[in-house]
Amino acid sequence: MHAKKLLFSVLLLLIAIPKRDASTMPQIVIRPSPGEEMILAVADVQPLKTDQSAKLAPMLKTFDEVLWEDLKFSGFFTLGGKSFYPPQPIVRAEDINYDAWSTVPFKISFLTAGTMELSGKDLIAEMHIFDMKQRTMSFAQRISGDTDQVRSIAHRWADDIVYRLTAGASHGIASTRIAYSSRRGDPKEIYVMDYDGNDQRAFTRNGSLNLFPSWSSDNTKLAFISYRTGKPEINLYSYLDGAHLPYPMFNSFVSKPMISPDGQRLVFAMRSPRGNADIYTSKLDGTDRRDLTNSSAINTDPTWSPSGSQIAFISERDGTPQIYLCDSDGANVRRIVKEGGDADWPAWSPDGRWIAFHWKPRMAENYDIYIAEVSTGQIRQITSDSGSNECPAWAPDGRHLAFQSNRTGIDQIFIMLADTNNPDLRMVTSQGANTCPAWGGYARK
Amino acid sequence: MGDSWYARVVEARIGQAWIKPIGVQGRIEIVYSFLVADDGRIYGTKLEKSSGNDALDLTALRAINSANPLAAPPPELRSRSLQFTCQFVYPPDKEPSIAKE
Repeated sequence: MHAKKLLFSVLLLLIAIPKRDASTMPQIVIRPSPGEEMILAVADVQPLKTDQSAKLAPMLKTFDEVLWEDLKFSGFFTLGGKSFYPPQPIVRAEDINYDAWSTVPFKISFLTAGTMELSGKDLIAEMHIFDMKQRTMSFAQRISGDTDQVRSIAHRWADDIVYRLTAGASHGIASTRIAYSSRRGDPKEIYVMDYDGNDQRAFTRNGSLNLFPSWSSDNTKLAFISYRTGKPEINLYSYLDGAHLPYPMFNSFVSKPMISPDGQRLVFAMRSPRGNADIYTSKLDGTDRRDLTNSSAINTDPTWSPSGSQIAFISERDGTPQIYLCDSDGANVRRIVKEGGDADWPAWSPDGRWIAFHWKPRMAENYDIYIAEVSTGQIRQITSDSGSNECPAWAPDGRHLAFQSNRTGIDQIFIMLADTNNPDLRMVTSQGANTCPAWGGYARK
Repeated sequence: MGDSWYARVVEARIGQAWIKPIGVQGRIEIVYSFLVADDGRIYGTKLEKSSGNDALDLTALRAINSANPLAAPPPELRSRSLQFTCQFVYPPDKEPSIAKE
C-alpha cells in the first residue's frame, strides 16, 4: 500500500515538474557584456495613400518629431542621424535596401518605419521595427486615434519600442503625465501635462492655493493640499471623472498627502497637539488616524517606499532637516544621510534603491538634487551650478527625474535622465511659475 | 529563431545589469541557464558553470534576477519553454557575442 502511494507521488511529481528536455526546447546562448550601445534609425513615417500626402503632412511631421524626442529622452538608445539615411522612403518592408542601409557610418541595430493614413475621423499608424542585423521585421503595431491625437500615437509607439527593445527594463515614459502646482496670476492651481510639457490642463479651478500634488500608484487619484476654504485641507480627487472624494478637515496645519502604493492609506504631515508637525497615516476616508512619529521635533514631507512597508520623511530632531526612514507603523526610525546641511523633499525610486531629495550644504544658498542609496546612505549629486533645484519626483521607469528649478529666474519644471554622465535636461514649462512636480505611473495599456 | 532580435535585447539588458568584477585576475567564465515563460517571467535559474568564486557567480545571478521579468517573448518563441544559456565572460572575448540555436 505504502509502495503504491509512493509510486503515485513520484508519478505526480514527474507530471508536475516541467522537464528540461533540450531536444524540444528552443535554446538560446547569449553572452551579456556591459557597455554595448544600441543604435536606432528612425525613418520618417510615410503617407500610406499618396492622395492624402498634403493633408497628412503636418501630422507626419509632428509624429516624426515626437517619436524622435521620446526615443532620445528614454536614455536607452543612440539615435543615428537622419542625414545619413538612404533617401528611399519606406512604405513597405520591401522598400528597405539593406545594402544601402549597411553603408551608413554607424552600425544600426534596429530601424523604425511605418505609414499613416486617414480613415474617416481616424488617424491610423502602421508601425514596424526592422532588425537590421537579421534583415527581417521584428515586430509591428497598428495604432489609431483621432486626428488630434498624433502625439499620443507617437508616444505609444515610442513606449512599445522601449518596452520590447529593452527586454522589459522599462515600459516607456512617453505616455506618462506630470501633475504640478502652477501660479498663473494670484491663484496656484493643480495642473496636469504630458511628460514632455504638452497638453497642459488645469485640474483645479478654485482660485485658491493648491499645492503638493501626488498620484495614486494606478493614476486614478490625485491627492494635494488646497486652501480653498481658507485653511490647508487634504483634497482627494478621482483623476478619471474629477469627482471630489470625501476626506475630513482636521482643523490643523496639514501638508504633503500621499496615497500608499496599495491604495488603502494616506500619509501626510500635520501639526500635532504639542504644536510640532508629525507624520500621520489614515485610511482614505480619514478614519483610523495614527501618529507615526510622535516626537517633539518637526517631522514633515513623508513619502511611501514602493512596497508601502516604509516611509521616508524629514525630521529636525538632530537640529537640521534630515532624511529619516521608519516602518509604515512608525517603528524602526533611522537616519540615512549623514552629510549634514539641509535635506528636504525625499522621493523613493520605483525600484526602492534610491531616495532623491534636495540638499544644500551648511551656508550654501541654493539647493541641488541628490540621490541617496537607501542601503548605504551614499549620496550622488544630480544637478549643479544653476539656480536652486528642488522637489524631485521619479518617473515610473526609475531612470528619470522631474524637479523645479529657478535657474531661468522663475520656478519651472525640468525633467532629466538621473545620470550625471548623460544629463539630457529639458525645461517642460514656461508659462507662469511652476512647482512641486509629481510624475504619474506608467500609462495603462 | 537563431540569432533573434529577442535574444539580442535580452543579452543587452542582462549585460547592462552585470556589474563588472573589479580586481579579478585572468579570465573568468560563469554560465547560468534559465527558462522564460510566455509572459517574460524568468524561472528555473541554474548555475551551469561556476567561476570558482561564489561572490563572482553572485554578480551574474544578480544581473539575471534584476532583469526579471523580461518583456514577453515574440509569438514565434512562445508556447514552449524557452531556455537561455547565459555565458558571462570577463574580460569579454574579442569576437562579437553569439546568440544561436
